[in-house]
Amino acid sequence: MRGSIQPVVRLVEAFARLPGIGPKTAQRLAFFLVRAPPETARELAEAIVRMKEAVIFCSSCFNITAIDPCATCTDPHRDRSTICVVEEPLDVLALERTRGYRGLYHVLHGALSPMEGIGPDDLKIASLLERMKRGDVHEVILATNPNVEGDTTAGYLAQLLRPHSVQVTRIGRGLPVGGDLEYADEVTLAQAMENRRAV
Amino acid sequence: MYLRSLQLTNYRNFRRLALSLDDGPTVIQAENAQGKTNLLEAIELLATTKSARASSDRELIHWGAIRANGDGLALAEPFARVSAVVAQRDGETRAEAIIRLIESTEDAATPGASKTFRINGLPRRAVEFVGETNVVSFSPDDVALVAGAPSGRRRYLDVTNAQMSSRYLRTLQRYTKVLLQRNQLLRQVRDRGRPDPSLSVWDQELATDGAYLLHERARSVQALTVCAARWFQELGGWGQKLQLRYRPGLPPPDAEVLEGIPTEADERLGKIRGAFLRALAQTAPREQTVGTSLVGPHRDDLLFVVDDVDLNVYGSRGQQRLAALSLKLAEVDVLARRVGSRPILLLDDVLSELDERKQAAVLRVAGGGGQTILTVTALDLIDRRGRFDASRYRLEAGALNAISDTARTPEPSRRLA
Repeated sequence: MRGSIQPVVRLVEAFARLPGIGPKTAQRLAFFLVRAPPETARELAEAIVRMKEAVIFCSSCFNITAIDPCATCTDPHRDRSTICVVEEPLDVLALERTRGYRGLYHVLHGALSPMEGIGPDDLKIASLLERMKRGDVHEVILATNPNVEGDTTAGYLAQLLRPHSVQVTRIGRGLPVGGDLEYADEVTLAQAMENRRAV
Repeated sequence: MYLRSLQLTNYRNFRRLALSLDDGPTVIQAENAQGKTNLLEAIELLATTKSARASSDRELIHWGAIRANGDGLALAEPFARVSAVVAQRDGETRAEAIIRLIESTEDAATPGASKTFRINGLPRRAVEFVGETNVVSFSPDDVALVAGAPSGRRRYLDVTNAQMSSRYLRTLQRYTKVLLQRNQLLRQVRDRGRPDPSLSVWDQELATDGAYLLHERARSVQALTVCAARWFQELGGWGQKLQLRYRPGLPPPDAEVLEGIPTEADERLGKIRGAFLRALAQTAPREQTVGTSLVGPHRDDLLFVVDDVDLNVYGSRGQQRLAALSLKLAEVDVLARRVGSRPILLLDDVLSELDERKQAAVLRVAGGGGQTILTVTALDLIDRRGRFDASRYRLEAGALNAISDTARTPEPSRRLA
């Protein structure tokens, strides 16, 4: 960023720290704001600060919320006997969009990854086990991502949940809806075959 | 399977090259440093998505293309492209590999390169690209397979199995990831001096993927050894029997489950997984002191044995070379059987190191059906026993010219003499 002005450089660097934003995109965003009217910039800055002040984590499920406990945890219409365990708050949003799940959630805030220095103590695991003690949970659905870290985290949780009298399930994996069998990769197809069920 | 045409753009020393090929032998004659190996490497890149020689993919882009960009003369980003029309029984596909230069950024001080792949113009991930073009290549350097370190033999088993099954490649990638994570965790356990409750889950993941790799490698070696023994016999002809022995990276009692694998059976996979977990349990204390994974396919080896003698240690150079060649020719047979069509055979300057009897045998294979691309320094190497029937080209300074029957170029070896 030679030849640029210090405040702009600072903004570019701030943008570049965000996930999914490379140096070029950071520059484009910063120079967009250079040209934009002052209120656009103020609105963005305020939105960020407000969000940071208003958002807290639910003390029960650890999803993001404005009130504690969160609306999902206190909703009387939700099935309190089922808990769906996910890695990130974004995963809750995705599952909520399905409108098919009526149970509660538990957000781990990550997955086991020794390379990133994330061990069991860095995840909201102890609080999940704490929730088991209340005794009204019948099923825990492990909906961590179907990759190395997510699978391992699910395996670890399954091990810890075994002593509790609760049914532990792993979210199904297989073919995407609307997909073609012939275009599915071998691993996905093999898993879909393994996870077949009677109709 | 064969390449009907090949086009290179800015690849290594080729600014532009177009070549039509047929389903038979093609001979490319060139003196040294004209780009013989680069040409074959480009074809191999289509099969494996990787160059076995380049330390960075940046090397694959013609230096002129990079320099022109540096001077601000070129408008587009520097890139290299390898493109081929692959003909198969059920039709033709266009396979493309594009290597683009990544300019240095604030994050990465050294410029790199990115590779993208396409089939019929549509982008494919590397795992989905491998297997579209099947290639077996042999060059004098391959003696290192027998004479060199185990890592080269593991890489060989991986490339061979990945060409046969994309599940193998995906499992290998997953295993590698699990292994990295597990090694990191073992280092943390060692440094903190206390066990980690999540280690046993990493064991499970390692054993599941590892068992599949061990199984597939054992199965491929079993198929390869039969064919390799036959080739060794035919090429060498002195009644010695070559045997490939798979040495899985499990302690001997646990490794027994991998002997005599007959078929692809889920039950077998479960047994291997069980043996893997037992081995992990046994080595656990040692792993936690050294801080790295000590059992698994990443510790595999493959032995080349002739009359109970390990060629890696006691083989003569000639025996080692012959064993490597036998393995590659066996791979042609095994791939043909598993994939359903003979792979493209690339022979890079291999004749000069062989005696006449072996040269004749290699030429029989090259001319015996299927596409073979053969590079030679001098044409008399292929014409010793009468004219070898093949399409012929002469490669000079990155340009390729057909050698017609009437105007044969003087043979360089004679010219030198």
